[in-house]
Amino acid sequence: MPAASNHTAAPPARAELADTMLLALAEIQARPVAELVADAAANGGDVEIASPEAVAVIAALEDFYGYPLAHVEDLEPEQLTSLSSLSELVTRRWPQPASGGQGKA
Amino acid sequence: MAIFIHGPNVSVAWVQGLEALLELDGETVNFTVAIDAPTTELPAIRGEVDSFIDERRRTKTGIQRISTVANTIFPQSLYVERLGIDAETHLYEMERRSRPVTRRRNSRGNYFERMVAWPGADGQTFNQLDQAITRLRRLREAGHQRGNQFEVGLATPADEAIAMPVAVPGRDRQTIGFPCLSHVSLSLQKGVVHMSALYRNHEFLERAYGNYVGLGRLLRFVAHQSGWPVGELTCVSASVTLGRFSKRSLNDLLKACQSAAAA
Repeated sequence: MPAASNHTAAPPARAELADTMLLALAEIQARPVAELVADAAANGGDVEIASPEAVAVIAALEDFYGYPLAHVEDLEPEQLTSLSSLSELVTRRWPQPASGGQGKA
Repeated sequence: MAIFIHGPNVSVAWVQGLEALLELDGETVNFTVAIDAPTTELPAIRGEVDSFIDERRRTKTGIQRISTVANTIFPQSLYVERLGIDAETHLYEMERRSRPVTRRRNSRGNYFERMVAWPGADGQTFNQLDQAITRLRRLREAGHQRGNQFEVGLATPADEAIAMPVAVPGRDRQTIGFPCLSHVSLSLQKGVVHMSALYRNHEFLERAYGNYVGLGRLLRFVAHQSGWPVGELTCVSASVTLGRFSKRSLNDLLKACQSAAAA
């Protein structure tokens, strides 16, 4: 994984999030990122994953962005099947800015 | 009444267990299931059990998929076998990093965590699995064919044992719930690694199939990483119950599994 993100209150752009997830998954699967990119290309842009891998990716994203990104109810295996499902989860759970407009520092 | 089931693989052994429990009105004690090939399943039977569980997950809370139950014992997808000896370190590291998220669902940890991060009295954690693999590997390097002389029934991890207690005295005070799996023992005999597991109580429908799958994968991991062939899995449930399912639905499931096995 790259160094921790200098994040803002806004969720990451879809492409940035996809890259970050691919880097995390590459480390979890001990594979080159290029192989995963090829897998995704052959699978309509998505990569299927097992739920322990999904949990490991979520943990990596939380470490990278500095936010908790999954609630207990998000961790049912039916919801942890692919990188695209994780992308939707992160976008949905990304913390909203406080009324003063400030997210987590 | 003690019951002994002996099956050639996970699926057939589980079906035999279901049949025996139905004949015993759904519960018994000292229920022992021995599985010759604990890494083998019959997909047709697995499909029937998966369907049964998935159907009930729509209306009942707390029922987990077979794959989810198995992952609490051994997270197979985090084991990258082609890394060779480094696969162990990789697996332990991925589990450690995942733990903050895993603990949201299992606040007291899961079985695999207990095996790789046993909570010691001094606040330090201890990797029982690493110790077991290291000892089994040393036996192989020394040319030994048996290692059950190291076996201690109720060991602490620091003892000279190839044993992995799961329950923590003084901490695990609940009479039901985690950890139902109390202890895992490994024995090397005639150049083959065998495993026995002890459950204090076992929900047969909701947990047993997934537990057998998870234990089989755990045994394969230990055997493969230490360089020995996989032997048999024996699982003793001090108490076992079929749980909150109608007898009719369980009889239907039994028939479906038997038909699937015969097809």
